[in-house]
Amino acid sequence: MKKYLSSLGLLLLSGFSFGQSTKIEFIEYDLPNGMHVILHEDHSTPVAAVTLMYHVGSKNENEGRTGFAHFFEHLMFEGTENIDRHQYDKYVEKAGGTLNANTSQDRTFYYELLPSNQIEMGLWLESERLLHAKVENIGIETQREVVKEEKRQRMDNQPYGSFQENIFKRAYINHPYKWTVIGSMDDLNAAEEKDYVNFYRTFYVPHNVTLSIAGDIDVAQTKKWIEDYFGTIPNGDKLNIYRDKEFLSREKFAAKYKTEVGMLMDSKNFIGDYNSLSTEDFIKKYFPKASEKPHPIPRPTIKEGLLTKEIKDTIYDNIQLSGMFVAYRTPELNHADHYAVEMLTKILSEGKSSRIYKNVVEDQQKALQAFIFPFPLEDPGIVLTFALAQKDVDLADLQASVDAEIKKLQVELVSDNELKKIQNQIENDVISSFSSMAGIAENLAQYYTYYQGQTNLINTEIDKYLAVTPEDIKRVANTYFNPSNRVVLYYLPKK
Amino acid sequence: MKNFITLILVLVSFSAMAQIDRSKAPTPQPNPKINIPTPKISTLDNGLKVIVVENHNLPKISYQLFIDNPEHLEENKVGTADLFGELLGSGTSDYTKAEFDETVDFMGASFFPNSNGFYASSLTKHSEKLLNLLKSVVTSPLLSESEFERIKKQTLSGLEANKSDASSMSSNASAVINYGKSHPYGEVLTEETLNNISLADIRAYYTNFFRPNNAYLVVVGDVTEENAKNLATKYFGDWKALEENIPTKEFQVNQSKGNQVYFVNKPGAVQSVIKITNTIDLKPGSKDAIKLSVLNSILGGGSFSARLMSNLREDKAYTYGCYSSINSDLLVGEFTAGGSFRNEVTDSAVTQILKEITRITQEKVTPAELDLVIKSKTGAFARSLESPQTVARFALNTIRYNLPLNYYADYLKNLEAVTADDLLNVAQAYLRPNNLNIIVVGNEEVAEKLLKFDADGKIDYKNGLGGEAITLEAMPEGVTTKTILDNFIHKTFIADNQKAILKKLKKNKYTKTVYDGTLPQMGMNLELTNLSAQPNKSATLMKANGMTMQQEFFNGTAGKSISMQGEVALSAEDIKEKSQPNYPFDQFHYLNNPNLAITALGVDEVKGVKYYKLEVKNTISEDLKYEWYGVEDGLLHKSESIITNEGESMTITIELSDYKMYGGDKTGMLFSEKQIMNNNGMIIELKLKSVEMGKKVDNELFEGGLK
Repeated sequence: MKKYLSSLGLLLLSGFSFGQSTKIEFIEYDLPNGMHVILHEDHSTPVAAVTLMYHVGSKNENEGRTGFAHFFEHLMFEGTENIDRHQYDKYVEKAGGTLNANTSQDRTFYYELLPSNQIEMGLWLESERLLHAKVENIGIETQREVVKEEKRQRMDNQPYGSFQENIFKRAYINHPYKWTVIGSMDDLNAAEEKDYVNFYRTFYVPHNVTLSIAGDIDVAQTKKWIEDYFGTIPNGDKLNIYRDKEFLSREKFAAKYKTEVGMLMDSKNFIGDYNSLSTEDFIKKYFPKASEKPHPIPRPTIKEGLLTKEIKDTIYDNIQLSGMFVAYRTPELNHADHYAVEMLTKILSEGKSSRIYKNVVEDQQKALQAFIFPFPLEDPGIVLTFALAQKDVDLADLQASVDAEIKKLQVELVSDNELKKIQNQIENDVISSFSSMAGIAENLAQYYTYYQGQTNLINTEIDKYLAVTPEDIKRVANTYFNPSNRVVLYYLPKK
Repeated sequence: MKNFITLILVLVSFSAMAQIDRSKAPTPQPNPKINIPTPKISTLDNGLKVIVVENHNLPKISYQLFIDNPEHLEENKVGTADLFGELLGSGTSDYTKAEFDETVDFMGASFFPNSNGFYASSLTKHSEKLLNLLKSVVTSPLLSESEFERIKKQTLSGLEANKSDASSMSSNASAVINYGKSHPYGEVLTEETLNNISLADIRAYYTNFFRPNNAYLVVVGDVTEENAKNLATKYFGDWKALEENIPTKEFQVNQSKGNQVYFVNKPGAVQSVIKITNTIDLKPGSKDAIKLSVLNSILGGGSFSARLMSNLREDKAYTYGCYSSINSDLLVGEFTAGGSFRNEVTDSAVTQILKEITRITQEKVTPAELDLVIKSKTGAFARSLESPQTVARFALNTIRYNLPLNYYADYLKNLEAVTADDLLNVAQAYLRPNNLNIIVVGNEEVAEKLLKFDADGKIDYKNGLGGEAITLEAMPEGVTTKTILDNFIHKTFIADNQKAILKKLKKNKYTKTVYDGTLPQMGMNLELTNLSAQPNKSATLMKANGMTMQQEFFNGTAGKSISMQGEVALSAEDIKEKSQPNYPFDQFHYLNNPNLAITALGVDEVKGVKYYKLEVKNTISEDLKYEWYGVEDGLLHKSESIITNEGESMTITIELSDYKMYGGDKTGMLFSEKQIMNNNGMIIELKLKSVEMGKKVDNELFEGGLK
């Protein structure tokens, strides 16, 4: 009883001190066009991160166009109506900043890290990208090859580099997670102009993006700029008309909007206005009633349950050591079991005293490396185990050792001490994730995007981890970590 | 509250409409003030220098120990320092390895040992407990036999894994090529050097090199300067200094004369890793260091607008990324440029990289480029200060390299002063565009095209450890494709002249062989039957565990293949290939087959046995085959076929052994009784069960009759 009390006391204490010292303050609001804004003010260093998280990733792609979301991300650096090709990045560099982007299954994330006197530059650039990014043929063809090189460099020419493709295509039957973010060479080759237009119109709209800024900002001034650059971006039908007006020739535009503009189309005035009026004024005059109502965003509705039968396969690759990949299907990020699943993986694999590392790698010396980690996704995801066999160790033997560790969690409760260890690790991870403005901005946006607007999870999520009990861990071990719910891949050397 | 804000914004948005001019980039606010805190440095009695950087943003403290010993050679024991570094985290006299790991993990702390010390961090509240562990690491590491053996074994497996990793291969090769084996940076860990290391060597390393009087303890984070110094004294004050100095040695590097091409073969590679490099004489803090760093940013720094990136990626789409680097170092600095490029553009990529290196030594950079890079580097410097570790690094560099105390404070001022003339001067002084090592790791098919870049017209082939790749010996005088094949045919027929062979073939018009096979990986038994007849008829049958799986028939003009999926007629291309005479074996007709290009490559040595290696290329299907004929016995011992189909290539090797005579004196021929086939990783072992030869055979068997 005494032991129980003291560990409970420690737990309360650590929770308390955590809340005291490192709360991330922020404000958030929606612009009238539906765009969400999050601001975090911190004056320790004169820097700021301006980030945009678009809620679109490879899971929004259609079969036959896999890899498109990521390819599209590359094209979003090509320029805009007001920014010439190859100038986008130069503006940022000249401002003393840096920029980049990345795409996952669920979202596309763009960021500029800037000295704090250049925040307006970041807002201008990003608002240009959202309002009227411009993609020309030469850019498409160049970036198509660049992306193919990226695939070769990251996957095809890497030992075990095909594991993602091989795991996901077996772990999912219908859900778009069955293909990789990078997609296939054939699909990359097949992408054509209308795909870009449709993708941009469907997903690059204000209500599908979160603007998150962290750093040395003046909140009032920043809000004003956000209003200037993003608040002025229309949405719905009006945004489509806006983009068409800028990208289509007058003839094409007239043909497309015949019914809306009607007789006025052929008048001399219209021709003159099309060339001389600003887009805003043009729309005001010819489309005074254009709707700004956001269009619904299609998202995959397929909900795939757990696997029902173990899938086993062997892949021959240009490698020297045999390796094993095992994927268990697990619930989505915003699911109560997610926290217990993640803690289970830490028990097995975080730190040198973790069970798989200590037993399989160090004591039994069966693996050169072995780890298990969650690959959490917005829809049900996977937990992935990777083990690289020591020279001359049989994979079946290695797998038996890893399986034994999982089995143990299914029958025995984790001790209070081990649970406390994992809690301490999580506390350390959370605090460390606050060490850069870029990290804070991304975390805030991610909580808002994946957790249906629960941005404050950045401060409170730790409580969900601390609430996980040994019984929970045993329960999720039994629910998700069964042979019938997994894909097992053996990688063997080719020759 | 949220709704209220939204409401206000709606109001604002009406009034603020269309006030900005989107067509122009906004102008920046006044520059923020950049503060570089000056860390305090103190020295303990044992010589340990303590650098403290206070930063209370987060409740965390980190401790970095860095022992700054002069570089030394490890010679035939390369890897000693690395193994020591790994062992440093494997228990102390106060904590077993398991206790140590458990204690670190329980705090959620991190601890990374290396050969020159460690990096460790934890939340402030665990800090003293962590220091207690660190003290134990420094003063009484266990360095036990069992851990030594375990880490050695792991390192061996790691070496094995690196054999197929292009970037490891590239960095091993460039280390040896740039620095040479008698330079500390040119020493490469191999199985051999690893096996030379004993635990005594590791202990000696600890005794000789691990000492406080050459060491820095860098404390960063949520701690006051005074407290940090007290903690350092409390936990590391007893660490004993070693008085005698470690001698500082001079090391020479060879400079290449003319551009030299080195090639490392990585079978199956779809990209080439190109590294164009040489050493440069550049010490940290040298007056040219800032200029060279600006020069590098323009040539191939991390941005999209750097010349290499803009030319090779954004313009030509040869690559995902192409970069250069210029590093300063107390011994000798290094220049590199390169990236990963698809096979077809490998030589074009080298051309462009060399062109950019040459151009920057011949022409002044444009004012726009210079302006962009100076502004970008100014911002990068300011942004780097977000991490308190940067400030600590500045302090460490200042003291290690004996930099002026205001080196970093004046950095932006000196950066601002760099001119285009300065850059041309340093480019000419340091870059040597005609004396570069061009190191390519890739598919051997791209090697030939690189010859043109080599000043001496000769490519040096290296292995993935930087050693000489074993290449074939030249064919001895008088040995040609024809003599090798004729010899093989004669040996197979056990005949010493053509007449005797033809005589045998008059009696031998068909052959039927049956092989028993096992697939050890799948626990399956096979039976392979092959019937062939003059001049080109064939029928094959494959049974698995007693069931017929696959059949193929060719009657001389047409044929079909039957599998579990059904029956398919042979394609026109297949027929064309099968129509070539092939009885009693392919090699008998090689020299008369117009579709084959055969080259005698040279003498290959495998496990102490010498073979003539032939390359047999089918000019129609483009399939490639290598064959190994024993120099001693003349027989075929191995073949390797590379079959390309829709961009994917597949390799099938067959090892043949245990040749024995079948048939009587009048038809007798040698057959290999044991064949091991490796079909892209699937291994099939075949044993010859029976051979039947004769004069007359039922033609129906080739139409589908063979069962």
